[in-house]
Amino acid sequence: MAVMAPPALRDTLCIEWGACPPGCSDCVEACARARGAPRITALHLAEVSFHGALACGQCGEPACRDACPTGALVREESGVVRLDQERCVGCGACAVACAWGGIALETATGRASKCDTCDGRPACAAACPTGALRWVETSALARRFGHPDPFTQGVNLCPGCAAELGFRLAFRAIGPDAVVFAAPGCACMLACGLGTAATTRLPSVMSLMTNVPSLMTGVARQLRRSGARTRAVAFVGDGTTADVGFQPLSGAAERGEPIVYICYDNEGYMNTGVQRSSTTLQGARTMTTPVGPGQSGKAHAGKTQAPKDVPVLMAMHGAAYVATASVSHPEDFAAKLERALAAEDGLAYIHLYAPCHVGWQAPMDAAVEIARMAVLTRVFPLWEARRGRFRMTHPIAHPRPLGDFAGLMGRLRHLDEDGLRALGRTVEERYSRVEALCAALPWDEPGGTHGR
Amino acid sequence: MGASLRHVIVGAGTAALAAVEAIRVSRPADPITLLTAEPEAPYSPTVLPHLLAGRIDESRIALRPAAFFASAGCRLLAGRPAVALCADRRVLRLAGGGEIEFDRLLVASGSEPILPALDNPDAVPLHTFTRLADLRGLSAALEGTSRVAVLGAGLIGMELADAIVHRAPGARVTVVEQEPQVLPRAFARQDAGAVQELFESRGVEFRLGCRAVALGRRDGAALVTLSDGGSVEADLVAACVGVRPRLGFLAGAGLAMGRGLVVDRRMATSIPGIYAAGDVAEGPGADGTIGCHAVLPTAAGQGRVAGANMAGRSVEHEGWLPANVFSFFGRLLVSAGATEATEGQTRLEQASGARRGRLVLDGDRLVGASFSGMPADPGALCWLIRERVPVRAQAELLLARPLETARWLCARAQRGAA
Repeated sequence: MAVMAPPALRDTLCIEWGACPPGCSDCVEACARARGAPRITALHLAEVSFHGALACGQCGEPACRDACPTGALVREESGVVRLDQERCVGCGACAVACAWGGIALETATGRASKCDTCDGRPACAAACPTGALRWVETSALARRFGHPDPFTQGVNLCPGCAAELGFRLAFRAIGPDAVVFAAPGCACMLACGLGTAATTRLPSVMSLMTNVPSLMTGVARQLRRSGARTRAVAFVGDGTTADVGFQPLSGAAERGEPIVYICYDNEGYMNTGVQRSSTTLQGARTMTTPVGPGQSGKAHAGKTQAPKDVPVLMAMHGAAYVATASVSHPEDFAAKLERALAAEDGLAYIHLYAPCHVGWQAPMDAAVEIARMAVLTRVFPLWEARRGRFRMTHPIAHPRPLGDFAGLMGRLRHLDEDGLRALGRTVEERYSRVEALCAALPWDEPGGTHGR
Repeated sequence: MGASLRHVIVGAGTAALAAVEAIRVSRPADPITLLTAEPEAPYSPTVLPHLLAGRIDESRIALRPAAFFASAGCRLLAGRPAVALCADRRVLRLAGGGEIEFDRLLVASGSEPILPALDNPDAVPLHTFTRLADLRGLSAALEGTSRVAVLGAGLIGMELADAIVHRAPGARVTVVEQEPQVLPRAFARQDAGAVQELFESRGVEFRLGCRAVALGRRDGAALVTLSDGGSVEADLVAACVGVRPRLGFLAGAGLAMGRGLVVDRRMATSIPGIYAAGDVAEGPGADGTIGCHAVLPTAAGQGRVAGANMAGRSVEHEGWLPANVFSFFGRLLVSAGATEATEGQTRLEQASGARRGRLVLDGDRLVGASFSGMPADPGALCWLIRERVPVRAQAELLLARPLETARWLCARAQRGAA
């Protein structure tokens, strides 16, 4: 028995809920061919217009296993909950214990049966005609973030901070051979710590907001001169990037300095009490873009300007590599970090969407879900560009209604239908601008494929 | 994490083992000792009829592999039952002398058979059927036997009758039950009637609505006298009239007891640091009813909760819910929650041939469901009842296609969809 082992990421069968073609039972038939009796259920309920499939989710603490009177169910190291049919007496306790439709008593054999993922080569997924059923290699994702955690014990940011998650993911992908550059802002606590207490294991430089890329230029050039492979990586906020320190960033991109610059965008100056920045979303309430009647009697309705699209500006420099990324899409983020590190012939810029649940007035556990919804509603398009040639990495063909995003946070709660419509126009404009760039200046990768 | 705690568990069945794993989630090094009355590796009495029927071999019934106890860092004292508890000294006395101290105690000692009150009880051997030793005795006694009387048509009695017929198709089995139906309380009368017919088609006879009152001998065979004046002749008599919590060793220990050990939702007894789980626990059901519920998934759930609380976490049990699955002669019976409607509730039924379904609704939500002769998912039905998922709009569909509809309703609610 594994005692207090860290949770491992497992490869898994992913079934998109209710996405099956009506009447299709290709997965069930493939399972039956491969395994005798089918261990996946097709749910076709035409009466309620539902067509989907269901199989065991291989629970971490399987209730079926705990209830089995013969020890016939075992959770293996691989994460598979396996049934030894030779030990099964068909008592049905597992089927009573499972609330997920994952195990059933077969009347034909009088024994239980359940999915064991065909040991990682599921016949059902191979047979699925639509991709509603997929085998997802989550462990491959874990390997992409395979370096040790960059933090020492204890991080003093707010619980649930998306910037912290972004920093952690970034340096688990980049590895320890890096110097991290920070500027005043929440994440300087991550990079440099507070007082004499270090937070990260990495060497770090505390810069001013006005000169991060300039300092990095000197350090990166000296590292290169000395033959070191060590990378200079900035992890700074949108205030430094979009407002206070944009000039040296623009200069470094134009000069082609071989630095990696990650901007975590929480849309404001959060550590100083939530003031607006130039990336703050239109309509958002901050301390400096209030909502309600002001002293002069004029009604305030949050920020009136559209956000500055810094990543597009960076791409238009013709920088070696530019991408947007989100804490909600780690696989996409990992791929982009890999390409940023590979772009050694110039500046690599990643604009990481990192909602601040405190400043955006949302619950402590909301940041990742907000980020996910920002992608699904087109609020934050995910794309990348190499030398000014673009492609979407996560196109959203059918966006969710904007309310699904706005409803997750307090800073947009005052928006009425008109306000939401105005925000929607800005969102669509930004998304379609990137789409147009992708069409006009398409990504150019001879012989290569996108490694998402 | 705090100082190390000494955990002692009386029993090593489903509830006890679930507790071990729950303790280990947060306390990897605390000493854990399990005490069992029987010398065998821990097994579940659920397997006994299947062993008797020959569906499974005795080498394949261990609840955990032999290596489990060492790798989980716990000590199994098999064949060392506890005989007394001294709660103020936090000590258990063991059979054969010796004591064991504890900081946290879990009582998960399971059930023991109830013997029917009979005149002349020693006239013939009366077999019970809750332990491996019982099975061995019964198995030997069945050799060369053709007539068997089973007292009680509850789950154990029916499974025993099923096992005997499975093992020796020529055997003549008579089942005596004081209720007017087989499987009382587990299934409604109509479903039970269908099960009874299945058994009768295999040659099993039933004497319902009467109970055994006396034992005797006639021509070298056993004679069971019934309350209706009739009698049953048999070569072997087995008593399966019920079980009760095995709690004799706690007499005078000062723990609050009803039918079992009284527990709250944390599975804590009336004395701090002492917990109970499984058949012995008399605790709240999902609907608030207090009682003992000797069913495997309940034992596992209660064990997990008890273990978590013993380890210093704070977890509550969701409450037991009646749920039964029987598979007799290829016929599947599933029931969850209430079997009959009470006042103000609605009962919906559908039957065609051997396929029967029944729903009990309270307003919008399901409080009971049972199906026989058709595929159904008891876990999904339990979840719908427990989580008070509105099902009224889909009641007809649920009756017609219970497996798919219940799984769809569950999955939809579990995904947070409307």
